[in-house]
Amino acid sequence: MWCFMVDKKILIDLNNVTLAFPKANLEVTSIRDIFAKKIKKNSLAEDYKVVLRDINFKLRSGDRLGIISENGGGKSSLCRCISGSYPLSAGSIVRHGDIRALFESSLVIYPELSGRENMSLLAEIFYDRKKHNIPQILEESLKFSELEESIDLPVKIYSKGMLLRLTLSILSAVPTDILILDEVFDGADEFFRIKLSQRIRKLISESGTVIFISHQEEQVLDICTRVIVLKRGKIIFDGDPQEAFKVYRESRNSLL
Amino acid sequence: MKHTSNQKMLRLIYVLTAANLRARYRNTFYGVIWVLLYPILMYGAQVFAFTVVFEVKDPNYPLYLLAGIIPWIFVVQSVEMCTGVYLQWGHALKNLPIPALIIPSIQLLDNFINFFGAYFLILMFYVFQGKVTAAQVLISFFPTFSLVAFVSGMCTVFALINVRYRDLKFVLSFLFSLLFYLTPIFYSINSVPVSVRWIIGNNPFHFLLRPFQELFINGTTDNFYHYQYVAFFMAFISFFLSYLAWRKLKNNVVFYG
Repeated sequence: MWCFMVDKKILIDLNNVTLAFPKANLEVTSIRDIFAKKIKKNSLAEDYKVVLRDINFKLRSGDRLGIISENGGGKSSLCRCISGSYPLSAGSIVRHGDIRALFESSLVIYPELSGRENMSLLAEIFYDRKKHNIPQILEESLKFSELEESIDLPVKIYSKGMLLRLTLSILSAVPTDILILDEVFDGADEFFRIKLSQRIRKLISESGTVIFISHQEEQVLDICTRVIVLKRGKIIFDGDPQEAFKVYRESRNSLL
Repeated sequence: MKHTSNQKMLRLIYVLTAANLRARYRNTFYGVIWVLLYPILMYGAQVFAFTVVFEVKDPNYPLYLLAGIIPWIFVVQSVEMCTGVYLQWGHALKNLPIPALIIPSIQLLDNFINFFGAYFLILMFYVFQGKVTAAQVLISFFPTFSLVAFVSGMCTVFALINVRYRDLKFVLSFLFSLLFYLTPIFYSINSVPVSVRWIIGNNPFHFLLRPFQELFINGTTDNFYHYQYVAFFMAFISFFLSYLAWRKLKNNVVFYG
Protein backbone atom coordinates (compact mmCIF):
# COMPACT_ATOMS: atom_id res chain seq x y z
CA MET A 1 0.00 0.00 0.00
CA TRP A 2 2.80 2.39 0.96
CA CYS A 3 4.65 1.68 -2.31
CA PHE A 4 1.44 2.32 -4.24
CA MET A 5 1.05 5.76 -2.59
CA VAL A 6 4.61 6.76 -3.40
CA ASP A 7 4.16 5.88 -7.06
CA LYS A 8 1.17 8.20 -7.42
CA LYS A 9 2.16 11.53 -8.90
CA ILE A 10 1.70 14.60 -6.68
CA LEU A 11 -0.51 17.04 -8.58
CA ILE A 12 -0.97 19.74 -5.93
CA ASP A 13 1.30 20.59 -3.02
CA LEU A 14 0.29 23.35 -0.58
CA ASN A 15 2.87 24.65 1.90
CA ASN A 16 1.83 27.04 4.70
CA VAL A 17 -0.75 28.74 2.49
CA THR A 18 -2.07 31.91 4.09
CA LEU A 19 -4.55 34.40 2.64
CA ALA A 20 -5.35 37.77 4.19
CA PHE A 21 -7.17 40.88 2.96
CA PRO A 22 -6.08 44.35 4.11
CA LYS A 23 -9.08 45.76 6.02
CA ALA A 24 -8.27 49.33 4.94
CA ASN A 25 -9.15 48.37 1.38
CA LEU A 26 -12.60 47.33 2.52
CA GLU A 27 -13.20 50.58 4.43
CA VAL A 28 -12.07 53.11 1.83
CA THR A 29 -13.89 52.80 -1.47
CA SER A 30 -13.71 56.31 -2.88
CA ILE A 31 -11.41 59.33 -3.09
CA ARG A 32 -13.99 61.16 -0.92
CA ASP A 33 -13.47 58.55 1.85
CA ILE A 34 -9.77 59.44 2.09
CA PHE A 35 -10.66 63.03 2.97
CA ALA A 36 -13.47 61.92 5.27
CA LYS A 37 -11.07 59.65 7.19
CA LYS A 38 -8.50 62.44 7.42
CA ILE A 39 -11.08 64.90 8.78
CA LYS A 40 -12.40 62.38 11.31
CA LYS A 41 -8.77 61.51 12.10
CA ASN A 42 -9.53 57.83 11.70
CA SER A 43 -6.34 55.95 11.02
CA LEU A 44 -6.26 53.55 8.10
CA ALA A 45 -4.60 50.82 10.15
CA GLU A 46 -2.89 48.12 8.14
CA ASP A 47 -5.06 45.53 9.82
CA TYR A 48 -5.77 42.26 7.99
CA LYS A 49 -8.71 39.90 7.83
CA VAL A 50 -7.14 36.45 7.74
CA VAL A 51 -9.14 34.05 5.56
CA LEU A 52 -6.76 31.06 5.45
CA ARG A 53 -3.97 30.19 7.90
CA ASP A 54 -1.08 27.82 7.33
CA ILE A 55 -2.81 25.33 5.07
CA ASN A 56 -0.70 22.29 4.22
CA PHE A 57 -1.69 19.26 2.17
CA LYS A 58 -0.79 17.30 -0.94
CA LEU A 59 -3.08 15.84 -3.56
CA ARG A 60 -2.00 12.88 -5.65
CA SER A 61 -3.36 11.48 -8.85
CA GLY A 62 -6.60 9.64 -8.09
CA ASP A 63 -7.36 11.60 -4.89
CA ARG A 64 -10.94 12.79 -4.47
CA LEU A 65 -10.85 15.49 -1.81
CA GLY A 66 -13.90 17.03 -0.17
CA ILE A 67 -13.69 20.33 1.71
CA ILE A 68 -16.34 21.17 4.30
CA SER A 69 -16.81 24.08 6.68
CA GLU A 70 -19.47 26.45 7.94
CA ASN A 71 -20.32 29.38 5.61
CA GLY A 72 -17.40 31.79 5.36
CA GLY A 73 -15.00 29.13 6.63
CA GLY A 74 -12.64 29.58 3.67
CA LYS A 75 -13.61 26.70 1.32
CA SER A 76 -14.06 28.78 -1.82
CA SER A 77 -11.10 31.05 -1.02
CA LEU A 78 -8.89 27.97 -0.65
CA CYS A 79 -10.08 26.63 -4.01
CA ARG A 80 -9.52 30.04 -5.63
CA CYS A 81 -5.96 30.02 -4.26
CA ILE A 82 -5.40 26.54 -5.68
CA SER A 83 -6.82 27.53 -9.07
CA GLY A 84 -4.56 30.61 -9.13
CA SER A 85 -7.38 33.17 -9.06
CA TYR A 86 -6.33 34.50 -5.65
CA PRO A 87 -2.73 35.50 -4.92
CA LEU A 88 -1.30 34.08 -1.68
CA SER A 89 -0.30 36.29 1.22
CA ALA A 90 2.23 33.68 2.35
CA GLY A 91 3.24 30.11 1.52
CA SER A 92 3.31 28.36 -1.83
CA ILE A 93 1.30 26.08 -4.07
CA VAL A 94 2.95 23.76 -6.57
CA ARG A 95 0.66 22.52 -9.33
CA HIS A 96 1.42 19.82 -11.88
CA GLY A 97 -1.07 19.71 -14.73
CA ASP A 98 -4.00 21.66 -16.12
CA ILE A 99 -6.59 23.03 -13.70
CA ARG A 100 -10.27 23.53 -14.38
CA ALA A 101 -12.23 25.21 -11.60
CA LEU A 102 -16.01 25.62 -11.55
CA PHE A 103 -17.00 28.15 -8.91
CA GLU A 104 -20.24 29.29 -10.43
CA SER A 105 -22.85 27.13 -12.09
CA SER A 106 -24.25 29.90 -14.29
CA LEU A 107 -21.50 31.96 -15.87
CA VAL A 108 -22.42 34.66 -18.34
CA ILE A 109 -19.91 37.03 -19.84
CA TYR A 110 -22.08 38.97 -22.27
CA PRO A 111 -25.84 38.81 -21.50
CA GLU A 112 -26.61 40.60 -24.81
CA LEU A 113 -25.01 37.79 -26.83
CA SER A 114 -26.74 34.50 -27.66
CA GLY A 115 -26.33 31.24 -25.77
CA ARG A 116 -24.27 29.88 -28.68
CA GLU A 117 -21.88 32.86 -28.58
CA ASN A 118 -21.47 32.67 -24.79
CA MET A 119 -20.95 28.90 -24.98
CA SER A 120 -18.26 29.42 -27.60
CA LEU A 121 -16.56 32.06 -25.41
CA LEU A 122 -16.55 29.74 -22.40
CA ALA A 123 -14.99 27.02 -24.56
CA GLU A 124 -12.26 29.42 -25.72
CA ILE A 125 -11.58 30.46 -22.12
CA PHE A 126 -11.55 27.01 -20.52
CA TYR A 127 -10.06 24.86 -23.29
CA ASP A 128 -6.82 24.96 -25.23
CA ARG A 129 -7.17 24.86 -29.00
CA LYS A 130 -3.95 22.87 -29.23
CA LYS A 131 -5.18 20.10 -26.95
CA HIS A 132 -8.93 20.09 -27.49
CA ASN A 133 -11.24 19.96 -30.46
CA ILE A 134 -13.37 22.99 -29.58
CA PRO A 135 -16.01 22.66 -32.36
CA GLN A 136 -16.61 19.04 -31.31
CA ILE A 137 -16.86 20.03 -27.63
CA LEU A 138 -19.38 22.73 -28.55
CA GLU A 139 -21.50 20.39 -30.62
CA GLU A 140 -21.54 17.68 -27.96
CA SER A 141 -22.22 20.16 -25.14
CA LEU A 142 -25.10 21.77 -26.98
CA LYS A 143 -26.69 18.37 -27.49
CA PHE A 144 -26.19 17.49 -23.82
CA SER A 145 -27.67 20.80 -22.61
CA GLU A 146 -30.87 20.27 -24.65
CA LEU A 147 -30.94 24.02 -25.32
CA GLU A 148 -31.04 23.69 -29.13
CA GLU A 149 -34.31 25.63 -29.44
CA SER A 150 -33.16 28.63 -27.43
CA ILE A 151 -29.44 28.59 -28.14
CA ASP A 152 -29.62 31.55 -30.56
CA LEU A 153 -31.61 33.76 -28.18
CA PRO A 154 -29.83 36.37 -26.02
CA VAL A 155 -28.68 34.91 -22.72
CA LYS A 156 -30.26 37.80 -20.78
CA ILE A 157 -33.67 36.17 -21.22
CA TYR A 158 -32.49 32.72 -19.99
CA SER A 159 -33.74 31.37 -16.67
CA LYS A 160 -31.20 30.38 -13.97
CA GLY A 161 -31.73 26.72 -14.84
CA MET A 162 -31.00 27.36 -18.54
CA LEU A 163 -27.82 29.25 -17.66
CA LEU A 164 -26.73 26.37 -15.48
CA ARG A 165 -27.32 23.90 -18.33
CA LEU A 166 -25.31 26.07 -20.71
CA THR A 167 -22.36 26.57 -18.35
CA LEU A 168 -22.07 23.10 -16.89
CA SER A 169 -22.55 21.33 -20.22
CA ILE A 170 -19.55 23.07 -21.72
CA LEU A 171 -17.34 22.92 -18.64
CA SER A 172 -17.92 19.26 -17.91
CA ALA A 173 -17.27 18.07 -21.47
CA VAL A 174 -13.66 16.91 -21.18
CA PRO A 175 -11.65 15.60 -18.18
CA THR A 176 -8.65 17.47 -16.85
CA ASP A 177 -5.64 16.89 -14.54
CA ILE A 178 -6.95 18.91 -11.59
CA LEU A 179 -10.70 19.49 -11.29
CA ILE A 180 -12.25 21.84 -8.72
CA LEU A 181 -16.03 21.71 -8.28
CA ASP A 182 -17.56 24.26 -5.91
CA GLU A 183 -21.24 23.47 -5.25
CA VAL A 184 -21.94 22.81 -8.91
CA PHE A 185 -25.23 20.96 -8.51
CA ASP A 186 -27.09 23.86 -6.88
CA GLY A 187 -29.97 25.25 -8.92
CA ALA A 188 -30.47 22.42 -11.41
CA ASP A 189 -33.95 20.97 -11.94
CA GLU A 190 -34.47 17.36 -10.86
CA PHE A 191 -34.24 15.82 -14.35
CA PHE A 192 -31.11 17.72 -15.37
CA ARG A 193 -29.55 17.16 -11.94
CA ILE A 194 -29.65 13.37 -12.49
CA LYS A 195 -28.29 13.71 -16.03
CA LEU A 196 -25.61 16.17 -14.93
CA SER A 197 -24.70 14.07 -11.92
CA GLN A 198 -23.89 11.11 -14.22
CA ARG A 199 -21.77 13.35 -16.47
CA ILE A 200 -19.91 14.93 -13.53
CA ARG A 201 -19.24 11.49 -12.04
CA LYS A 202 -17.76 10.39 -15.37
CA LEU A 203 -15.69 13.59 -15.46
CA ILE A 204 -14.48 12.96 -11.90
CA SER A 205 -13.53 9.36 -12.65
CA GLU A 206 -11.55 10.41 -15.73
CA SER A 207 -9.82 13.48 -14.20
CA GLY A 208 -6.46 13.29 -12.38
CA THR A 209 -7.49 14.63 -9.00
CA VAL A 210 -10.69 16.30 -7.80
CA ILE A 211 -11.51 18.86 -5.11
CA PHE A 212 -15.21 18.81 -4.33
CA ILE A 213 -17.18 21.31 -2.26
CA SER A 214 -20.76 20.69 -1.30
CA HIS A 215 -23.10 21.18 1.63
CA GLN A 216 -24.74 17.84 0.75
CA GLU A 217 -23.18 15.22 3.01
CA GLU A 218 -24.48 12.41 0.84
CA GLN A 219 -22.73 13.78 -2.27
CA VAL A 220 -19.44 14.31 -0.47
CA LEU A 221 -19.48 10.81 1.03
CA ASP A 222 -20.37 9.35 -2.34
CA ILE A 223 -17.64 11.11 -4.32
CA CYS A 224 -14.74 11.80 -1.93
CA THR A 225 -12.07 9.46 -0.60
CA ARG A 226 -10.71 12.07 1.79
CA VAL A 227 -12.23 15.14 3.44
CA ILE A 228 -10.72 18.27 4.97
CA VAL A 229 -12.66 20.21 7.62
CA LEU A 230 -11.93 23.93 7.79
CA LYS A 231 -12.73 26.11 10.77
CA ARG A 232 -12.07 29.86 10.53
CA GLY A 233 -9.53 29.29 7.81
CA LYS A 234 -7.59 26.49 9.52
CA ILE A 235 -7.60 22.77 8.87
CA ILE A 236 -8.99 20.99 11.93
CA PHE A 237 -9.29 17.56 10.31
CA ASP A 238 -7.89 15.82 7.23
CA GLY A 239 -8.76 12.18 6.59
CA ASP A 240 -11.62 9.68 6.42
CA PRO A 241 -14.89 11.25 5.10
CA GLN A 242 -17.19 9.67 7.73
CA GLU A 243 -14.88 10.80 10.52
CA ALA A 244 -14.64 14.28 8.94
CA PHE A 245 -18.40 14.83 9.16
CA LYS A 246 -18.34 13.74 12.79
CA VAL A 247 -15.63 16.36 13.52
CA TYR A 248 -17.53 18.97 11.49
CA ARG A 249 -20.77 18.38 13.45
CA GLU A 250 -18.94 18.51 16.77
CA SER A 251 -17.21 21.77 15.81
CA ARG A 252 -20.55 23.28 14.79
CA ASN A 253 -22.20 22.18 18.02
CA SER A 254 -19.37 23.73 20.02
CA LEU A 255 -20.12 27.05 18.31
CA LEU A 256 -23.79 26.95 19.36
CA MET B 1 -1.62 34.01 -9.95
CA LYS B 2 -3.10 32.48 -13.07
CA HIS B 3 -0.54 31.48 -15.63
CA THR B 4 -1.60 31.78 -19.25
CA SER B 5 0.67 31.28 -22.25
CA ASN B 6 1.25 34.29 -24.50
CA GLN B 7 -0.47 32.54 -27.38
CA LYS B 8 -3.57 31.81 -25.31
CA MET B 9 -3.51 35.39 -23.98
CA LEU B 10 -3.50 36.80 -27.56
CA ARG B 11 -6.29 34.42 -28.54
CA LEU B 12 -8.36 35.57 -25.54
CA ILE B 13 -7.77 39.24 -26.42
CA TYR B 14 -8.98 38.51 -29.94
CA VAL B 15 -12.13 36.54 -29.02
CA LEU B 16 -13.12 38.84 -26.15
CA THR B 17 -12.59 42.02 -28.19
CA ALA B 18 -14.75 40.56 -30.98
CA ALA B 19 -17.42 39.60 -28.42
CA ASN B 20 -17.20 43.04 -26.79
CA LEU B 21 -17.80 44.72 -30.15
CA ARG B 22 -20.72 42.43 -30.97
CA ALA B 23 -22.28 42.94 -27.51
CA ARG B 24 -21.96 46.72 -27.77
CA TYR B 25 -23.65 46.94 -31.14
CA ARG B 26 -26.25 44.19 -30.65
CA ASN B 27 -29.77 45.54 -30.37
CA THR B 28 -28.70 49.13 -30.99
CA PHE B 29 -30.09 51.02 -33.93
CA TYR B 30 -27.30 51.27 -36.51
CA GLY B 31 -24.79 50.73 -33.66
CA VAL B 32 -21.59 50.52 -35.72
CA ILE B 33 -22.56 53.38 -38.00
CA TRP B 34 -23.36 55.64 -35.04
CA VAL B 35 -20.01 54.92 -33.37
CA LEU B 36 -18.22 55.82 -36.62
CA LEU B 37 -20.42 58.85 -37.18
CA TYR B 38 -19.91 60.32 -33.70
CA PRO B 39 -16.27 61.46 -34.18
CA ILE B 40 -16.98 62.48 -37.78
CA LEU B 41 -19.94 64.65 -36.68
CA MET B 42 -17.92 66.13 -33.80
CA TYR B 43 -15.19 66.99 -36.27
CA GLY B 44 -17.65 68.39 -38.81
CA ALA B 45 -19.30 70.59 -36.15
CA GLN B 46 -15.94 71.99 -35.02
CA VAL B 47 -14.87 72.69 -38.63
CA PHE B 48 -18.17 74.51 -39.17
CA ALA B 49 -17.86 76.51 -35.93
CA PHE B 50 -14.31 77.67 -36.58
CA THR B 51 -14.24 78.14 -40.35
CA VAL B 52 -17.79 79.47 -40.88
CA VAL B 53 -18.82 81.04 -37.55
CA PHE B 54 -15.42 82.33 -36.36
CA GLU B 55 -14.17 82.72 -39.95
CA VAL B 56 -10.72 81.20 -39.46
CA LYS B 57 -9.13 81.82 -42.87
CA ASP B 58 -6.21 79.35 -42.77
CA PRO B 59 -6.96 76.73 -45.49
CA ASN B 60 -5.07 74.10 -43.45
CA TYR B 61 -7.20 74.66 -40.36
CA PRO B 62 -9.65 71.76 -40.97
CA LEU B 63 -6.69 69.40 -41.34
CA TYR B 64 -5.05 70.81 -38.20
CA LEU B 65 -8.31 70.26 -36.32
CA LEU B 66 -8.54 66.70 -37.63
CA ALA B 67 -5.02 65.91 -36.38
CA GLY B 68 -6.09 66.86 -32.87
CA ILE B 69 -9.78 66.23 -32.39
CA ILE B 70 -10.10 62.58 -33.50
CA PRO B 71 -7.11 61.35 -31.42
CA TRP B 72 -8.49 63.39 -28.49
CA ILE B 73 -11.91 61.71 -28.81
CA PHE B 74 -10.07 58.38 -28.78
CA VAL B 75 -8.26 59.37 -25.54
CA VAL B 76 -11.41 60.53 -23.75
CA GLN B 77 -13.54 57.57 -24.86
CA SER B 78 -10.78 55.12 -23.88
CA VAL B 79 -10.57 56.63 -20.39
CA GLU B 80 -14.37 56.46 -20.08
CA MET B 81 -14.53 52.85 -21.25
CA CYS B 82 -11.49 51.49 -19.40
CA THR B 83 -11.56 53.14 -15.97
CA GLY B 84 -14.42 51.06 -14.60
CA VAL B 85 -13.49 47.91 -16.45
CA TYR B 86 -12.22 45.89 -13.47
CA LEU B 87 -15.44 46.50 -11.58
CA GLN B 88 -17.49 45.33 -14.58
CA TRP B 89 -15.31 42.23 -14.97
CA GLY B 90 -14.77 41.58 -11.24
CA HIS B 91 -17.20 38.67 -11.05
CA ALA B 92 -15.90 37.06 -14.25
CA LEU B 93 -12.28 37.40 -13.12
CA LYS B 94 -13.07 35.63 -9.83
CA ASN B 95 -14.72 32.73 -11.62
CA LEU B 96 -13.03 32.36 -14.99
CA PRO B 97 -9.41 31.68 -15.92
CA ILE B 98 -8.98 35.05 -17.67
CA PRO B 99 -5.77 37.00 -16.95
CA ALA B 100 -6.79 40.36 -15.44
CA LEU B 101 -4.00 42.14 -17.31
CA ILE B 102 -5.73 41.78 -20.67
CA ILE B 103 -9.07 43.33 -19.63
CA PRO B 104 -8.19 47.03 -20.26
CA SER B 105 -6.66 45.99 -23.63
CA ILE B 106 -9.98 44.48 -24.70
CA GLN B 107 -11.86 47.75 -24.10
CA LEU B 108 -9.06 49.77 -25.64
CA LEU B 109 -8.94 47.64 -28.80
CA ASP B 110 -12.71 47.88 -29.12
CA ASN B 111 -12.44 51.69 -29.00
CA PHE B 112 -9.37 51.74 -31.24
CA ILE B 113 -11.29 49.97 -34.03
CA ASN B 114 -13.90 52.79 -33.92
CA PHE B 115 -11.19 55.47 -33.85
CA PHE B 116 -9.32 53.86 -36.71
CA GLY B 117 -12.48 53.59 -38.83
CA ALA B 118 -13.45 57.26 -38.36
CA TYR B 119 -9.89 58.52 -38.83
CA PHE B 120 -9.37 56.47 -41.95
CA LEU B 121 -12.63 57.65 -43.53
CA ILE B 122 -11.83 61.34 -42.95
CA LEU B 123 -8.22 60.91 -44.12
CA MET B 124 -9.39 59.24 -47.31
CA PHE B 125 -11.59 62.29 -47.97
CA TYR B 126 -8.50 64.53 -47.74
CA VAL B 127 -6.39 62.11 -49.82
CA PHE B 128 -8.96 62.35 -52.64
CA GLN B 129 -8.91 66.14 -52.28
CA GLY B 130 -5.10 66.03 -52.65
CA LYS B 131 -4.48 67.69 -49.27
CA VAL B 132 -2.92 64.57 -47.70
CA THR B 133 -0.59 62.13 -49.43
CA ALA B 134 -0.74 58.34 -49.12
CA ALA B 135 2.77 58.50 -47.59
CA GLN B 136 1.51 60.80 -44.83
CA VAL B 137 -1.33 58.37 -44.12
CA LEU B 138 1.16 55.49 -43.84
CA ILE B 139 3.59 57.46 -41.67
CA SER B 140 0.71 58.37 -39.32
CA PHE B 141 1.11 54.80 -38.07
CA PHE B 142 3.93 56.06 -35.78
CA PRO B 143 1.98 58.82 -33.98
CA THR B 144 -0.96 56.40 -33.77
CA PHE B 145 1.27 53.75 -32.21
CA SER B 146 2.68 56.13 -29.58
CA LEU B 147 -0.80 57.44 -28.80
CA VAL B 148 -2.32 53.95 -28.35
CA ALA B 149 0.65 52.78 -26.27
CA PHE B 150 0.40 55.84 -24.01
CA VAL B 151 -3.36 55.51 -23.60
CA SER B 152 -3.05 51.78 -22.95
CA GLY B 153 -0.63 52.37 -20.05
CA MET B 154 -2.66 55.29 -18.69
CA CYS B 155 -5.96 53.38 -18.84
CA THR B 156 -4.47 50.37 -17.06
CA VAL B 157 -3.34 52.65 -14.22
CA PHE B 158 -6.77 54.31 -13.99
CA ALA B 159 -8.56 50.93 -14.08
CA LEU B 160 -6.35 49.61 -11.26
CA ILE B 161 -6.84 52.68 -9.07
CA ASN B 162 -10.60 52.69 -9.71
CA VAL B 163 -10.94 49.25 -8.09
CA ARG B 164 -10.32 50.91 -4.74
CA TYR B 165 -11.36 54.51 -5.37
CA ARG B 166 -14.60 54.05 -7.23
CA ASP B 167 -15.36 57.72 -7.80
CA LEU B 168 -12.18 58.13 -9.87
CA LYS B 169 -14.26 57.89 -13.04
CA PHE B 170 -16.14 61.10 -12.17
CA VAL B 171 -12.96 62.93 -11.19
CA LEU B 172 -11.36 61.94 -14.50
CA SER B 173 -14.39 62.99 -16.49
CA PHE B 174 -14.07 66.48 -14.95
CA LEU B 175 -10.28 66.59 -15.43
CA PHE B 176 -10.44 65.61 -19.08
CA SER B 177 -13.09 68.28 -19.76
CA LEU B 178 -10.56 70.81 -18.42
CA LEU B 179 -7.68 69.22 -20.32
CA PHE B 180 -9.54 69.66 -23.60
CA TYR B 181 -9.06 73.42 -23.25
CA LEU B 182 -5.48 73.05 -22.04
CA THR B 183 -4.45 70.95 -25.05
CA PRO B 184 -3.68 72.62 -28.41
CA ILE B 185 -6.47 70.97 -30.39
CA PHE B 186 -8.52 73.83 -31.84
CA TYR B 187 -5.76 76.41 -31.35
CA SER B 188 -2.03 76.33 -32.02
CA ILE B 189 0.61 76.42 -29.28
CA ASN B 190 2.13 79.41 -31.11
CA SER B 191 -1.04 81.45 -30.52
CA VAL B 192 -0.80 80.97 -26.73
CA PRO B 193 0.71 83.98 -24.84
CA VAL B 194 4.33 83.27 -23.92
CA SER B 195 3.65 83.83 -20.20
CA VAL B 196 1.32 80.79 -20.00
CA ARG B 197 2.76 78.73 -22.84
CA TRP B 198 4.68 76.51 -20.41
CA ILE B 199 1.36 75.22 -19.01
CA ILE B 200 0.09 74.15 -22.41
CA GLY B 201 3.54 73.12 -23.62
CA ASN B 202 4.09 70.67 -20.76
CA ASN B 203 0.72 68.99 -21.11
CA PRO B 204 1.53 65.35 -22.02
CA PHE B 205 -1.30 65.28 -24.57
CA HIS B 206 0.31 68.14 -26.44
CA PHE B 207 3.34 65.86 -27.02
CA LEU B 208 1.11 63.02 -28.19
CA LEU B 209 -0.99 65.06 -30.63
CA ARG B 210 1.80 67.26 -31.95
CA PRO B 211 3.33 64.60 -34.26
CA PHE B 212 -0.10 64.20 -35.96
CA GLN B 213 -0.37 67.98 -36.39
CA GLU B 214 3.21 68.32 -37.67
CA LEU B 215 2.80 65.42 -40.08
CA PHE B 216 -0.43 66.59 -41.71
CA ILE B 217 0.41 70.31 -41.81
CA ASN B 218 4.18 70.41 -42.44
CA GLY B 219 5.03 66.85 -43.49
CA THR B 220 8.00 64.84 -42.23
CA THR B 221 10.11 67.79 -41.08
CA ASP B 222 12.70 67.73 -38.27
CA ASN B 223 9.96 69.02 -35.99
CA PHE B 224 7.86 65.94 -36.74
CA TYR B 225 10.72 63.59 -35.86
CA HIS B 226 11.51 65.56 -32.72
CA TYR B 227 7.95 65.40 -31.41
CA GLN B 228 7.56 61.79 -32.52
CA TYR B 229 10.58 60.80 -30.41
CA VAL B 230 9.11 62.67 -27.46
CA ALA B 231 5.77 60.87 -28.03
CA PHE B 232 7.55 57.49 -28.02
CA PHE B 233 9.28 58.46 -24.79
CA MET B 234 5.94 59.47 -23.24
CA ALA B 235 4.47 56.11 -24.30
CA PHE B 236 7.40 54.32 -22.68
CA ILE B 237 6.93 56.28 -19.44
CA SER B 238 3.21 55.49 -19.44
CA PHE B 239 3.92 51.79 -19.97
CA PHE B 240 6.52 51.77 -17.22
CA LEU B 241 4.13 53.44 -14.78
CA SER B 242 1.42 50.94 -15.65
CA TYR B 243 3.90 48.12 -14.96
CA LEU B 244 4.65 49.59 -11.50
CA ALA B 245 0.92 50.09 -10.82
CA TRP B 246 0.17 46.52 -11.93
CA ARG B 247 2.80 45.10 -9.58
CA LYS B 248 1.47 47.08 -6.65
CA LEU B 249 -2.29 46.90 -7.23
CA LYS B 250 -2.99 43.70 -9.20
CA ASN B 251 -4.15 41.81 -6.08
CA ASN B 252 -6.92 44.36 -5.51
CA VAL B 253 -8.51 43.37 -8.82
CA VAL B 254 -9.52 39.86 -7.77
CA PHE B 255 -10.17 40.70 -4.11
CA TYR B 256 -12.23 43.86 -4.52
CA GLY B 257 -13.12 44.00 -8.24
